[in-house]
Amino acid sequence: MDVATAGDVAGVVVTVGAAVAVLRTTDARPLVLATGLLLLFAPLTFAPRPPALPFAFWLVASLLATYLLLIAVRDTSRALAPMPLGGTGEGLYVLLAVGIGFGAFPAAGPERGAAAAFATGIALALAALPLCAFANDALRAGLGAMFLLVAGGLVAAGLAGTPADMIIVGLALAIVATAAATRTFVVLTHRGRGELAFGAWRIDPREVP
Amino acid sequence: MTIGAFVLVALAGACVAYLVRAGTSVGGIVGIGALAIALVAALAIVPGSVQPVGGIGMAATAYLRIVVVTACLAFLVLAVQDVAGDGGTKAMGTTYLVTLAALGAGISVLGAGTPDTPDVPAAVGPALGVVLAGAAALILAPPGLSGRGGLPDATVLRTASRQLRLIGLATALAVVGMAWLAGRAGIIVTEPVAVGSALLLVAAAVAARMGALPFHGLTARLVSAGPLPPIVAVTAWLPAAFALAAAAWSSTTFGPFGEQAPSEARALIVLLAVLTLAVGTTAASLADGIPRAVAYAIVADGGFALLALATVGPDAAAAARTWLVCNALAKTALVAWAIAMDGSTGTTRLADLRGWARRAPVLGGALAVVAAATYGLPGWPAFDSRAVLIRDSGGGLLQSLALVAAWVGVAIYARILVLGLLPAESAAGARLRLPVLAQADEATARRRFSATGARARAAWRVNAGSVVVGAAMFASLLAAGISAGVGGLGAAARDAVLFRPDAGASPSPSPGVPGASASPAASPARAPAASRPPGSPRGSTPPSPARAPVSPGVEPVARLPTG
Repeated sequence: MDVATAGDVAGVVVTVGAAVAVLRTTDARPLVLATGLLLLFAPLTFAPRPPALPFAFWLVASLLATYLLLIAVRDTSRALAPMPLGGTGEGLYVLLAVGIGFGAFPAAGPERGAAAAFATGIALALAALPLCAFANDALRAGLGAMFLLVAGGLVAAGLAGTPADMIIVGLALAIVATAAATRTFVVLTHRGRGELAFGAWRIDPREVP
Repeated sequence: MTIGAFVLVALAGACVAYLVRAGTSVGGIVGIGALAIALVAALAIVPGSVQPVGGIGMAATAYLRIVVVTACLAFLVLAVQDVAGDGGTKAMGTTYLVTLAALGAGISVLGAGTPDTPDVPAAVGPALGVVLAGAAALILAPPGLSGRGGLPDATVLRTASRQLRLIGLATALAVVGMAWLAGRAGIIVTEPVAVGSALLLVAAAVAARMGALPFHGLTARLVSAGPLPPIVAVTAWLPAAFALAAAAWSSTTFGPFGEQAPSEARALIVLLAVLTLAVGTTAASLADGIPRAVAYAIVADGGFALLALATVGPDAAAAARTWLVCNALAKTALVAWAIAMDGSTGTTRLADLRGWARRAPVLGGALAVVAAATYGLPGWPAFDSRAVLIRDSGGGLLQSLALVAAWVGVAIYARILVLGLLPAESAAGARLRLPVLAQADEATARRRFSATGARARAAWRVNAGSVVVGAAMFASLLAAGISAGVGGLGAAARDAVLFRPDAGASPSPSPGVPGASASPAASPARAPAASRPPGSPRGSTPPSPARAPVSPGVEPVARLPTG
């Protein structure tokens, strides 16, 4: 197995595995760490690999995004309610989506990008679906938006090859922006309810300094 | 000044405004100062300069300068109202300056390449524009970013979280849709199903960002419930930048292959646009309060944005660029008017506002001017652009419905104006509140400031209400002026966006791509290389035919100075 293939395999395995972990865990800290792993390994599915500078930018942005979420969780709460199907059901169909992505890729036609990126993107998009539609807490809701962005970049890389350098930089900025916004949502929700789940405030907002 | 320098100035101002966002008047004044500096920087932008950044050219044109200058002025108006008004958060600078940076960066990259990097595919610019507009909207999604702290309403927070997810979805859909037609060697797909699918994906993205059907409920709730000033940046200007990028993709990348798209795909988009216009204008016309009327007026705009995407051709592209700016400015003026109304009357319920225009004729005039700015008068670029978008949306029943739905929206403004001209029935309708400095406050001011400072402060407090109303009138006149063509928006829009380096030959169809039309103003000089046949090595230039004569009536690509 050459280096490129090993990188593809590592990228797919770690990214999809991290997505499944995000769906299954009910502890916010491992959830954030899994998200960080996902962000770091996702570009390994591109073929060819991104140039050094935009790749480094992506790595720094991923670390920054993970850090923003970690400090949000550190300062608030770590307990999360389980996903509607317990996380296992969602994880299984994410794994199934990887196979479907690889199977459907040849139908996209010739002169396309990397099958690994395409399949991983499809899996991430399906992982984002329960996070966006059914998650009732501020953290998972923000991660759903983040997964959609990464999924869009991966699917586009599968269709049209490695994105242009500035597209990678732009997506990295969007990831950081989403993490910053998610942190704000997490902090505000915790301030109002003492937990990360959405709902009516349990304190009088006028009493908040 | 280059556009990159403007973006840096705006971002620096946003950082300063964020650090001083304590919610006091100082924070508001710092924000106004930063916006004023950004305005000077915007006026200093030199059209025609191309600044390479990572292989992408950030190109400044007259159109871009008009957009950022008018946005600066509009945000200054809102910031002044925020500081002068009683209920303002006094810290809107961050939101506005981030929006300005995104506008400048997102629009400048739509041409993609530079004279030194002509191989950059045409789709890269619009995709980058979409991503930058999305990134700015994502970071501005949480309420209270520019606020004075404390907690926003729980419902507002949850709605904003949904908006965050919707922005992520729209950005992802747009990126995938723009990549759908392309392979590693550039444009490779011309099958009708694929071309139609790409168009529908991008249309879905635009619908999600602009609040068109079926995403109208979320946008309406967000605008109705949230504070209006920052909302206008997130729901009017940033979606306009997003739609501009999508329209640029439609005219440069998709346009040459638009004839391949099934007519059903375009018809579906036009149908969605008509339904959005109908639902938005009807709901706004029947709204019981001003915020809800503003919310659904913004929803109706999504219909026009979809029309801009469904129409193809140089006239339609220029019309889309004109309309998007005029509309964002008109909505900002409408929001400024709504803020002034709330401050002057103390209520936003239309049932309590009978006879308001009799007692606040300046505000009545402002609303009439806003309506004129929104729909335009015959001969105005705003009017002509709407007419072109409707005309080029396709014939038949859908076009007729689009025409009717587009003009029914006048009822929104007519209803409120007629209500204002009726005699007031109640004390609430007759009441017009102006802020008056109480004696105790003046005494406090005298203790805290010098005599001159106390007098200035007292004068400011007494006249603050007039400042809010005057700002609303200024915003209305600004919107009307731009809609009327002051500043040359119409001409600038016709020459804009395609900041492609002059490759020498007029664009002509590649021999490997059947059916690609030669329309120089719609397809850039990159089109032949981007459409090289599959299997050709990357970087190779296909044999190009001899220079083709420019078709009569088609504008050539603008030539930019190199270096």
